[in-house]
Amino acid sequence: MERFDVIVIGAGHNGLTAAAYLARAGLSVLVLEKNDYIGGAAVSREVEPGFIYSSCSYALSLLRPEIVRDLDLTLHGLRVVPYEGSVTLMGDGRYIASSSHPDVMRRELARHSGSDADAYHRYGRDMRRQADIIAPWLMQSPPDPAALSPTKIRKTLSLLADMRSLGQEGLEGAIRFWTLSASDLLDRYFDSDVVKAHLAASAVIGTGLGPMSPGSAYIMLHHRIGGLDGAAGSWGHVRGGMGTVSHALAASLKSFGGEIRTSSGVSEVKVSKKRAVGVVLEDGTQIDAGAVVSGLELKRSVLSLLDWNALPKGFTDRVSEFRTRGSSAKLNIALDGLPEFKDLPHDCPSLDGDIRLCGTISDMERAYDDWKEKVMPRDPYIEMVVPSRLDPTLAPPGKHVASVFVQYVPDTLIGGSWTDANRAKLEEVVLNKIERAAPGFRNKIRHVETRTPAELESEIGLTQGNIFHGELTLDQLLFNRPLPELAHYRTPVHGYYLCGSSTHPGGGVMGAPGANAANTILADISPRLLRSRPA
Amino acid sequence: MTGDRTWDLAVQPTPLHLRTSQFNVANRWTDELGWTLPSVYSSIASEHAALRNACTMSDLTALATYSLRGADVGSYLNRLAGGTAGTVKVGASRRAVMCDDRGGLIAEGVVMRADTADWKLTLPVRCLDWLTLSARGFDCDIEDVSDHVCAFAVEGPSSCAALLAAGFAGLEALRPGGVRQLKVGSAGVTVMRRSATGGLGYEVRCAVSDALFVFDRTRRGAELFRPVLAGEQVRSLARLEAGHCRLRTDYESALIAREVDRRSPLELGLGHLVNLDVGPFTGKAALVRQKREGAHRALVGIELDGASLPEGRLLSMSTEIVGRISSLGWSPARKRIIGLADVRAASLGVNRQLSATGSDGRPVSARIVPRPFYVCPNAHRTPPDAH
Repeated sequence: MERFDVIVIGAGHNGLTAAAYLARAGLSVLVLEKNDYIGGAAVSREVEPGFIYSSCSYALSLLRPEIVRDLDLTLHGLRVVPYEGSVTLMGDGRYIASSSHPDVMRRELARHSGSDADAYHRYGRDMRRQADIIAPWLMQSPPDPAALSPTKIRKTLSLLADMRSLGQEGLEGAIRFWTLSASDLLDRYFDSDVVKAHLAASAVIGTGLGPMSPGSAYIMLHHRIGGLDGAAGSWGHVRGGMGTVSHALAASLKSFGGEIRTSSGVSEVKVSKKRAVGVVLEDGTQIDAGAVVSGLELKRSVLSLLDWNALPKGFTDRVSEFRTRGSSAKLNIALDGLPEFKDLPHDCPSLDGDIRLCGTISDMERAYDDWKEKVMPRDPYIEMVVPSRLDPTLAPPGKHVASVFVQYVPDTLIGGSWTDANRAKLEEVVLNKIERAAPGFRNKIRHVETRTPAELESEIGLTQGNIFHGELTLDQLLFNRPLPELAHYRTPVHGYYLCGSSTHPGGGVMGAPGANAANTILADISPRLLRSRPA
Repeated sequence: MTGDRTWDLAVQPTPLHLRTSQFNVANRWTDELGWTLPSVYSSIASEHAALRNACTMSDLTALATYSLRGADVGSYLNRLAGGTAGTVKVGASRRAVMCDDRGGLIAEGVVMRADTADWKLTLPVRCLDWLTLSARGFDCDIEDVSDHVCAFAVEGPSSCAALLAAGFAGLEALRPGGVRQLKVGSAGVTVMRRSATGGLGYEVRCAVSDALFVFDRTRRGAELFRPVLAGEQVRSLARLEAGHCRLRTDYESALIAREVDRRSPLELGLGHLVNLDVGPFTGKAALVRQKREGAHRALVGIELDGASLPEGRLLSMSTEIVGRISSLGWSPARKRIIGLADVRAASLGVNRQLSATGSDGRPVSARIVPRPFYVCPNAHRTPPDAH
């Protein structure tokens, strides 16, 4: 029977990151992927011939620079083209074409409110300040306030000391950012509903919160803690689609001697004497391992792969209570031409970035209300990118691909599940909304792939279609992510670890959960392995 | 499709761009607050010589200008800026410092009052949101008029005579800080006798539509005095010689500064611009506390030995690092290297021997000296001496 030091379940970006770090440390590592392609939600697929879709995630910012450096991802093919701006269309002719250039951005905001244009500096400072607090927490296990060991107390105290250095005003600000709604937070800085809608857009993405729900301000912050090459908070397009991230990670893993097997779904984690000792594949093949790491979402990692009898009492209930409500859908569209938005000139450079069709914060909140009622979205929030504007490798010359992210799509409808008819209905709603903003858009459509939460769950294993592997609310962050007893990537089964986005610090193509889990695993098993190996 | 093409130029030309580009033979540019400005027109030496010995003209458009109207403008400005800014009389101006609630300096600006109802506040930073927020409860309307006002400076010992020759009648009677409204041809201009360069100087403001006309008329009218166009670099050097601390060089606005970079007016040597004895103003409590307890840091003038600029920016006393040089330059007026340094209060005092690291790695001796480095008596005479 085959045996590896570590088996990683799932070739998503976090699984690959963990695997690459473990292989880099000298362990024999095998990654098992159920699909016939790698990448999970960071994937490029040619569904329509000649057109490359970033099927799920579609922009990069949060991938930690430490990971890019440690795993030499640039040498392994990772190329990121920064967005120079983004566009927010209100639907009534008003718009903001944001820019990474501060002077252009100021003038653009000043078209709506001079005071808001200047307040943007203050807002940027406060966001940066809060992001700076969180950034050091990303690449380490979260502090454990309940732990009594001197090392852990020291760690918690050092993080508290960082907080204290903010001063009273900084601490008050931090609490506000963690608990306020995006709408209330933006009201503290801005007057214009266009400016507020533009900034609130990042608060709604992927989460089961409305822009007026307490805690949604943190989502804005979560989307800003990354950055590209020193430009904090900026987002970019990965050349070749998001699959390039996964392929760079895979290439790095292979360069360290790791192995990846696709079409190898795991049906069970073998547990012996409360210790994970290997996996059983769907075809019945057994592979032994010193440790098993799951990059899958929490509920799949625990409820689907483990024998419930081996778990502590009540544990499975707590896992099933972890909130993973899906709220997003994705349309990938092949186009015969570039969409032209009626409200702004086609040469606006901000069109290279994301284009939000959102309306005001109230409109977004109404879309959220539909989600709460579990009805078919009537006027959803849409974030669209046309990555082929920046990357000619994605479509034939003159043709384009569009990634359309649709927010506030319930995982199940009150009238039933996501049937083909319901999926077609959602597609109509979305395409009609884009058509209103960009007349002629529908005539340019060549192919549409619509992925509701149901497809996100069945194809890439996002339970209920939640793109973050679990909602990013304060009760499910830091030492509570995913559960207090799982916050350090370990599970009640010795030798079985979690490295997916369900763990700290959460979702987005960040890689930090994978890297942190690898650190924990190395701390746990290296001494044992080193002892058992010949010198 | 809309006609808004705000992305055409990231940094925009000033109303005087036609002229500044015509005379910018060095073709060196910089940008401030979203405006393009000449960095050097020909050479720093020739521009500095003209500034200190004859007459220069400079584009001053890169300032945020706010127009304030209402019954409470005076009390609003007192509240906003150190308890003193609202005391400006008609036809006068004064420097003012704006602090945030914790006493951090937002910016140093100038309040001017051309007539009873016309108050203007010019600042090197845009902060309409802060001004608006502070105006709650006051009868005071604030408008950002930066895009509608063109400003240029005429500076140097001959500047008064040059402006008189250009038709700015009666300027010889204008006292330092004085503001007067005049007509140049059909264009209305506001002239303020004030210069941040430490010498005699005037700032001329007019509507953007009249900018080129007023500028050309001034330049041609003053031709006898051979006005030289001076770029940002030489103005920056002159401001250093005058001992003024500069935003984004010597301090960062408290509205965007990191916690460690926050500085109060007391720490920057601008304590004379706040009046801690008058009624409440923004940041007063923090400044009173700092005055009582003593500031931890201070911005001081320094002089360095030698003629070449040191390599490093750190200042040390024996082996301990005590501060950082924030601006530095060879002063043609003083014929030595001068600078401003942010140092720990503990290192202040007479005969303290400081050092920086020279370009050869050896220590360069530095001394703390009083500011300003350059004083021009003519700047305070009324009427100024004709040169």
